[in-house]
Amino acid sequence: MTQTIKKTPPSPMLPIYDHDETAEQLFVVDLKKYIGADIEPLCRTLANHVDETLPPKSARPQSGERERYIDVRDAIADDPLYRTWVNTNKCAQDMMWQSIAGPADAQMEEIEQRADIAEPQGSLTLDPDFVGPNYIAAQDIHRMPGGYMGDFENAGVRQGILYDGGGYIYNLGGRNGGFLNDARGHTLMSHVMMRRPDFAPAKILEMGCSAGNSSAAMASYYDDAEYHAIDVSASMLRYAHARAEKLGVAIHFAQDNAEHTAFDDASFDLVVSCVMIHETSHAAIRNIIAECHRVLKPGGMMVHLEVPARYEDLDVWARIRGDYEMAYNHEPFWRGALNTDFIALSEKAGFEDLQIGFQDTSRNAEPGTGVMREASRGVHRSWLVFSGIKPSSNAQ
Amino acid sequence: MSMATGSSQVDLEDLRKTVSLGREPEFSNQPGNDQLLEMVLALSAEVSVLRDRLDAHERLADAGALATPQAIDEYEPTETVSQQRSARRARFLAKLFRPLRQAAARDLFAREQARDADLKQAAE
Repeated sequence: MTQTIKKTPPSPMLPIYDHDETAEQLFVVDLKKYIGADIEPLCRTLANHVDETLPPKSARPQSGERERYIDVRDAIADDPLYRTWVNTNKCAQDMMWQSIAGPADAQMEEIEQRADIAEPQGSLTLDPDFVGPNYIAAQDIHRMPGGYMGDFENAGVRQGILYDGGGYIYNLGGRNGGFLNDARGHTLMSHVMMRRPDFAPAKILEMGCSAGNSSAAMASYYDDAEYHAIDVSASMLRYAHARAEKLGVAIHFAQDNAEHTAFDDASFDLVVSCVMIHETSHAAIRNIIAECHRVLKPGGMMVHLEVPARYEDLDVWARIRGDYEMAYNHEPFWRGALNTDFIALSEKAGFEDLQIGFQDTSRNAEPGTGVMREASRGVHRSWLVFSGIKPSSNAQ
Repeated sequence: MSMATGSSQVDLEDLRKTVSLGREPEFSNQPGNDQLLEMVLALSAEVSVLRDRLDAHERLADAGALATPQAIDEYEPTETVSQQRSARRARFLAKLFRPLRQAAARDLFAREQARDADLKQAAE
């Protein structure tokens, strides 16, 4: 017998969580906090101790300089503390997904009805023959059950629900803008409005929009602009489309590859992405920046937002941790996103007036108010942002 | 009592949405031990859920209400109650991971002593 709970979902396309489902999710949040605050410092102490006492390994002549953290990583690989950290971290991530998949699968029929939008303001264009890029198809990013692409029968909006619901827990109970999980979108727009207080873009393109958390936030600025968002996953796009419609934001979603989109040359005033780059590859990021240049109008702006860290600032433990992210949390381009020289790549692609730095997190961007710093203020307080302008044709 | 089910198989299409595919860590000498950790954590989550549910019973009783299933699902903890619950979960996690922390502490002390002994020997 099922009872009717007089509750609303925490955001328009999420499941309705009952008392115990919420309690389970909050246990996972506190488990993740505990791992970060109480287990990781022990791992860092261990790594630093090994770093101080282990004789340097000589570099293999053919491979050039061997990074010190690899010696330390190899030395602690069998340590019980390190091993338990790896497995507990992995387990917390899997429990996170399970705590969303439970209520999502139980309510899927009702949620699919919610996703059926009768008179959309925006649109949804899917390509049944679309093939995802290898870096997404090769493993299930973030260990999400069913995979990012959701290429199983009747995936519907399910993978989008998992991504959105899991994001709330991953960001430790809403530190990225509560259940809307949209602070990154506001922060990116804060950078745009900091650079160009009088900007009035007519067409905006967002690449790698996933479940549309940042999309709905970014599209809520510049009322007169036509907002397009692309992603490789049909399930993400179905979810993002329904979510945006429920939030009353008009967005045109399409299944497309950011490396080579279907859009015409010089068709956008602004091209953006939020935390997409670390899910791609060395080759892909070059193609993506070149594609941004191609689809931008002369004078248009490119802005990408990424995780708030640079590789050179990471200590030995943080570098070992980065290897964990790549190997077991299935973040294919984690290290690359942290140590790629985005300015050099963007210049090579033809951009000028480049900026890179740590943008203060914003919940409500306003022209001329954003702050960008040289140093990160930490997770959830800063985001790495880089931006550039496509030169006006007569300026060349 | 159930019989051995002669012809039942799993539908792999159905299973696909329950797992992530990619490289998996296997760190214990006996791979089953990795699963044991996961099972302990799953049980811990359930204990924590039950404790929060008991808390909901008590809060409802305090307010003179009956703790029916519906009343519990509709109960919205205040900010103070949420913080108290979170603090209790943190104390529970500290108990749960005490063996790990103590073993790590002993190991770090031993490493410090070994380093001090090496430095002393080098100085002599």
